[in-house]
Amino acid sequence: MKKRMGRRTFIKKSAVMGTISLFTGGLGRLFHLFGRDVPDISIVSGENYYTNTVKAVEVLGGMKRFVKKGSKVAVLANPQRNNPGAFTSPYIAEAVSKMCIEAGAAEVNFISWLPEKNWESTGLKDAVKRGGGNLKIVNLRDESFFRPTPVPLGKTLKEARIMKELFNNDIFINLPITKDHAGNKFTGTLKNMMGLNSPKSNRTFHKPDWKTNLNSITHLDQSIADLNTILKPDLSIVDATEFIITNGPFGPGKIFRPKKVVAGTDRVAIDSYCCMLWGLDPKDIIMINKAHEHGLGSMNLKKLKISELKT
Amino acid sequence: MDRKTLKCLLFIVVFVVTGFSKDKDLSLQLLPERVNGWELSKNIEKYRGDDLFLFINGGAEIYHEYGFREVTSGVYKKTGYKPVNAEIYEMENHSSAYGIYTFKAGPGKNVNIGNDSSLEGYYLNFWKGNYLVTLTGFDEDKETTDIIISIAGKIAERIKEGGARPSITKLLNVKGINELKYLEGNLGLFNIYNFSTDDIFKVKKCVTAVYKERRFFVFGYPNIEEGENIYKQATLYLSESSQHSVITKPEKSMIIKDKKGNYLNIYSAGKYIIVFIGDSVADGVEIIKDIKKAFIK
Repeated sequence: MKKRMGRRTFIKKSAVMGTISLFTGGLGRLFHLFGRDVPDISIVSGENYYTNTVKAVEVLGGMKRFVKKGSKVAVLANPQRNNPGAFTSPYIAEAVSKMCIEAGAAEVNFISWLPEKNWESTGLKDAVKRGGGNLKIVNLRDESFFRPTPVPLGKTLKEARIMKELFNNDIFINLPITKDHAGNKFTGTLKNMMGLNSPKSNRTFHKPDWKTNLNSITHLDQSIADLNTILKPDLSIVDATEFIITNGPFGPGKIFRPKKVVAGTDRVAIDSYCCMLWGLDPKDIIMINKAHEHGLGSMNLKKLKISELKT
Repeated sequence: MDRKTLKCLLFIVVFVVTGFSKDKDLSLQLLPERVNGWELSKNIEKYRGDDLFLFINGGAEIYHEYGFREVTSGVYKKTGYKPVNAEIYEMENHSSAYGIYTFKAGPGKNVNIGNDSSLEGYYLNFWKGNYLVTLTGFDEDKETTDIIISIAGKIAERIKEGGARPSITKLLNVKGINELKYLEGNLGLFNIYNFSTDDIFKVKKCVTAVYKERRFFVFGYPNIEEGENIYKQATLYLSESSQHSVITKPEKSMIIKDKKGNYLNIYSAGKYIIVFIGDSVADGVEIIKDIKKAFIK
């Protein structure tokens, strides 16, 4: 059994490898050359968000690790509002789409029930086009676009209503922006999954009598964790470049600019890392704890391999 | 159907139709069509009640906690410039408008618009009457801040009501207070300090602020009996909670320590409960005296 590297050792080594890769091209290839496992979380910071995205995926082994030739890819970005720091960066969306196409994807479909005006005003519609992807929007008021889906492990959510379009794809990439959220303090990979569930079903997360229900806050967080038990992204890439840390999720609010792109497959670990970026403790985020309890990932970042690079 | 019933029905139909169209006009009238060469685009969005979830998606709960009626949203455009978003939130009353304003507004620049206003870089919030108004530019250029201030000023002129702050905030006449927020529910409280996901303080009226770099809360209740009852229940809950350890618990006060090492001084003061969060047991003693003076007559 291979001995796992400590986090600090890993960061030092990966930083060196990052420098080497600038000359050789492709960190993921280097990891394989050295016969080492890829990191659990790949973080790349720098002024160019497109480049950060490409590098972050390279460190994980490259997009070909996730997207097979001829496959159809569903991407869930967040076009919530054109307020600064409230939506997934178009540069990141474009980079993801292009990487998928280059990896041999037959189609890259950005799926959403948020209206087209949101995609236009945030610049995401143009970004999807530039990246060679398709925009597939369903009518949020028409429940026929959503498939009733049991949630066997759900504690508060027993049935979800998932966008049917998701099931027409082979690969699923989650592409949220991390930011503040007045309902549960934080939003990231786990919370973004509500973008696949019908708005009508999402409303049940916020109980009709939530104003008087003492456990309503826990109920929302538990429902999000439950939803995540039936939806497993093949890859999560989080926009942690510029985001609001007050008045979330809609904004406008105070903007924090770590200029980072965070990628990996462990949603709980990624959210734990992202909330710490602006001083939150993952233990205080109920949704992350509930997802950890479901066994969806690890909150213990010390036990994970984390690669941090600068471009 | 006789003539009388028919007249009655006709009256109801006319009343409803004119009532709705009048309401629509009123909301639109608050948004000026043109300000300094910037024009309001024709696509005005409007969401009422629970439909706020369709506009804000997640994050609508906090507006509902304060009492939300409707939002009107428009975009101002001028060739060669980035657009400006304008949102007018109509709340249930003056207190709820003031409350959501304090929840949203940070320590910005007061630009003397409405009853209170805060310009924070690329955006501006103000409240007046039953309304919270938010204007968002997309950069911090002078042109952007100038136009959002101008549009805000025009909207404020059109809101005829004044509006008074909730009485609990007026009582807090202590110098050196910062970051004041007025809360009307546990969700707002949870966003500032997590005493519990359960509403142990039965929050209906609460003011919180920072004083001498420490945060305190004052929860208000209709009468002394209710205030004291809730104090007993809340302190019992906290003393049994695994998240806190009790340091001292004399009559009508309690000091507990949370898992992050904060010391919570909790006082029963008639129809108020005062909570102070400090770094040590001694921290709260002096400061709480100043706060209590304002509330215990």
